[in-house]
Amino acid sequence: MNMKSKTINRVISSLFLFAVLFACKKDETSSTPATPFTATSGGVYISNEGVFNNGNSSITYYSPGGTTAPDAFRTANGTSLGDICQSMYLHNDKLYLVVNNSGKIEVCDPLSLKKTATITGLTSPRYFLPVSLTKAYITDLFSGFISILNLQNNTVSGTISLSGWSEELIELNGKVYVANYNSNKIFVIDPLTDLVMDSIAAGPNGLSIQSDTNGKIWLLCSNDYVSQPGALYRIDPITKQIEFNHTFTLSEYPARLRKNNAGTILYFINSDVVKIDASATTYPVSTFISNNSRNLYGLGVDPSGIVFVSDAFNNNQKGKIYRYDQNGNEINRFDAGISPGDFLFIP
Amino acid sequence: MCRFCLYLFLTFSPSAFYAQGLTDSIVTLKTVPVISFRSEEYLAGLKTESPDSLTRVFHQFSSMSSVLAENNFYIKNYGPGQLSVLSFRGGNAYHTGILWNGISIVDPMTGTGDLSLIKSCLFENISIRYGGSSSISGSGNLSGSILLSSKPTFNNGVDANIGVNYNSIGNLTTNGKISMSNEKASGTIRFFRENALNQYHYIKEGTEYIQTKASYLQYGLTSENSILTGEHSSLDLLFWYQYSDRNIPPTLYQPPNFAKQKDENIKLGLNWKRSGRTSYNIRTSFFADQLYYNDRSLTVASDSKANTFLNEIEIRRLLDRHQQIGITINVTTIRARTIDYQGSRTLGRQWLNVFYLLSSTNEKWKFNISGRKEFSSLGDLPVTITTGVSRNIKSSLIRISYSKLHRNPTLNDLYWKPGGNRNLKAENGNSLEAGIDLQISDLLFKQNSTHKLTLGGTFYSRTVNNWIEWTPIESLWTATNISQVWSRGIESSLMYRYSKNKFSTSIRIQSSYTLSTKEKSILVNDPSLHKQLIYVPVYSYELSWTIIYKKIALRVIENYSGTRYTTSDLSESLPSYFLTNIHLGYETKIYGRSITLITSWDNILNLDYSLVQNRPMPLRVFNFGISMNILKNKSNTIK
Repeated sequence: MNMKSKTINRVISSLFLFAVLFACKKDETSSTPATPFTATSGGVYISNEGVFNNGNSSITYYSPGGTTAPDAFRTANGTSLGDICQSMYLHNDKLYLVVNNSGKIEVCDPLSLKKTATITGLTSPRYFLPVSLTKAYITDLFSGFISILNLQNNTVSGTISLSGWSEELIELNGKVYVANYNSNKIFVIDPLTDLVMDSIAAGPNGLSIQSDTNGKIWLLCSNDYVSQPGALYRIDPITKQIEFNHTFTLSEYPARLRKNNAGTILYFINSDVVKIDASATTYPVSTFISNNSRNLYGLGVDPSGIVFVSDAFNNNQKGKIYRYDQNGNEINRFDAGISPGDFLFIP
Repeated sequence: MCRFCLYLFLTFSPSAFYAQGLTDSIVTLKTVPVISFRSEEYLAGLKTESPDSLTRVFHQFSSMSSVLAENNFYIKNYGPGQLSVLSFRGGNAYHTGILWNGISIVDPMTGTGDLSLIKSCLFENISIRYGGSSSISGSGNLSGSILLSSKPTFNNGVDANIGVNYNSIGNLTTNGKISMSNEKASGTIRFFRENALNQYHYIKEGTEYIQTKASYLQYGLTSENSILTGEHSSLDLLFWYQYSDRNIPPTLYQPPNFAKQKDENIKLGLNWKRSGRTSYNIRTSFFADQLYYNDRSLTVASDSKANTFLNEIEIRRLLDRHQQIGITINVTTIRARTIDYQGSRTLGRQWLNVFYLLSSTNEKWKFNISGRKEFSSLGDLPVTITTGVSRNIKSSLIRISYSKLHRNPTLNDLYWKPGGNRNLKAENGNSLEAGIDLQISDLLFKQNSTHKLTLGGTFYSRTVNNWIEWTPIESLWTATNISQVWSRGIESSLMYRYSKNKFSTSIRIQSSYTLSTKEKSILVNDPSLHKQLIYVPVYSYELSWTIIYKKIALRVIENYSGTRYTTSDLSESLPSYFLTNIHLGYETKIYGRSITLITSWDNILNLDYSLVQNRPMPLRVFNFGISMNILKNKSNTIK
């Protein structure tokens, strides 16, 4: 080997070594430290849906003192919650976390979030409603039926067929009312017989449903993004007559109908947060909380009337929670997980 | 420790082989020439590469996904045989064009092409063009293109090859090629069939599992036929049929969903070409693409069909030996139908392209400029241009290119229910790149030296406005023009080769440094502003070491990919990884028939890694394949 070849060889070897060292540079990653917590009365759980298929749903705990515990479920259990935690429900001293794209419900201790059971055998669960101490209904995005859950052994004990996507549901006067996206009806179920006993005609694309202090049902229907605008209805469940309705424009996307503890005021997101009185006869002309170019995504009202709103940004990064008083003035803000969608207020 | 030892070995191994004084190689590493079609040969300033011939031999049973993954491209792969898309230079999959003999074959509904459905054995030539070239290749080619083509050969008699490959996860692949030609006509059929159990091992939370929900069946063929209709004219008939039926495995956190996808694609083309001082190329094509998808979540299966009709005339005129002008007129109609569009949608596109090429009398300077105006049933689109210049100085080539870009929204972006947005604007932007390729060995060694050393570097910068993202707006996902994205980076390559008598060895490093950040957002206080886009590694490199002795070839390849963020605020990520593959090939003759044996160990270090979150890639996989020429005294190269 001549001198020139040796020189070239050394140059190549050095370049390789440099490449290896360069490639071994430690990548910058951020991680969230585990924060131990014990939930107390007045605390709030926020379910963060995460990114679809990324399996990074999480629960943020917000204490009455204003501190937060990010990813509280992982802290308590050491495992991921799953894919898309859609909603939460507190019933009979158990917390039910509905994990949509994992097709399961995690049953947890409401104060420690320690998992006690997992309900499986669900297709695409959305919202949970107990109809007795031992029985609950769970709506579904894709299956075309509501699943009946046996809460004693945490299994699926039966189904109730409905048309397509069933979403939020409420119990009123011993009947269960179910919002349905694929029909222009609210379905009425008898929880004693688990049979669909009736339906109420309303707009299509129904997703969000509440009852008010006057015993009326409010239904918020979504824009279908093509030709059907969203709509808001107030319906008398006895006469099945629509008492009030408002049709949105095709450029409006109303969602997340919520109410205060007394059921006298309803709130929903329509780009901004809109507030409407339960006895209103006209649609409000002013907004309650302006979106200010935020992507307002989740909405909740605590028992004292404080409004929690989440900004999900592009739903692919950690969101932010804003708290507002009853006059719409911001109280504070704090960070949550990805796509904060649902709020559960611990009594 | 094992990895460190490998590094040391790779780093210092050239010294060892210098001392051996071995003889010349049998299998050469020459670059497959880029076939010329339309005006792509006139992109003087853009970087274009082709997999070397040994890569083609080792990957003759693989999809394009595997070919590109070993060449420092970041493939977003959902698993073996599953959806696999390529993102160039910080763009997304929609920004990568795939062209078959000059015609775009990306799915008109999704705007992407699934590389796992494209088998490398079906094409004679594969090349990769970096950088945006909307004015040449059309909407969507913002960050790069994959060019697939075949060129008819005449007067070559009859030739036939056949091959079979089996691997340790239960995948059996057969392929072959039959060609016949005389002085006037040429016909070639290439085919493959893959029956895959695809039962690969993977890791979930520290425990090893076997995938049982990912089996698939694929088969297809291409047929290229050409007749010389005159001294300077020919008529080509091109046909490509492909079928795929695959089970889609659930993610790590999904219950079994029994998802299934079937793809059936028919592509038919007729070209008439005449060359001379004025050259003509008239072509008509018809593509029929069908995608059937079903899983537990659907009450009605999704059955999408798209038909594409394309007619094109290209005329070129040589003004003199160094100047050429050309014009292309294209009329394309796409008709797509799916239940999710609530009926069928028709999209008409007409475009006009003009170009001018100038080269200096000594051919050292080359300059090109082309412009394109597209008219669409969605509305007029801005004029796009691509211009570039290259200059040979001694043993180096310097190139500079600029492109004005655009990408139309896909049909799904516009019409999918729910979430399609008819008010979407087309993406638009600018791309600039400059590069240099140096033949250092020409400067250091005398001519015909046994040493060859080349060095290349490219800098690029691209800005895209009205970047389209699907994002939830009040619970429902919808397509939105959300931001401006700036991508820039440096790509470098270094290759050293030593060859003497029947021995040769070469080492190649290709590295890239990519920054792709959101610079403007429609959201206020967006925490992802100025941060790296998801699934774009900042650092990546490919290191390959090849030894060829007589008729034996060995190649070790290591691919490094840096951290890939999976959330926009960089709070979550997939870890960086080093992936090592080994290929070994041997060519011999039995009864006058050329036979090639190939083996490979993919992921030989049994690395647990993912290219898409919660979609684990296989642990170690062993492949064994054999291909042979059926006829005596014919070379055995299935491409």
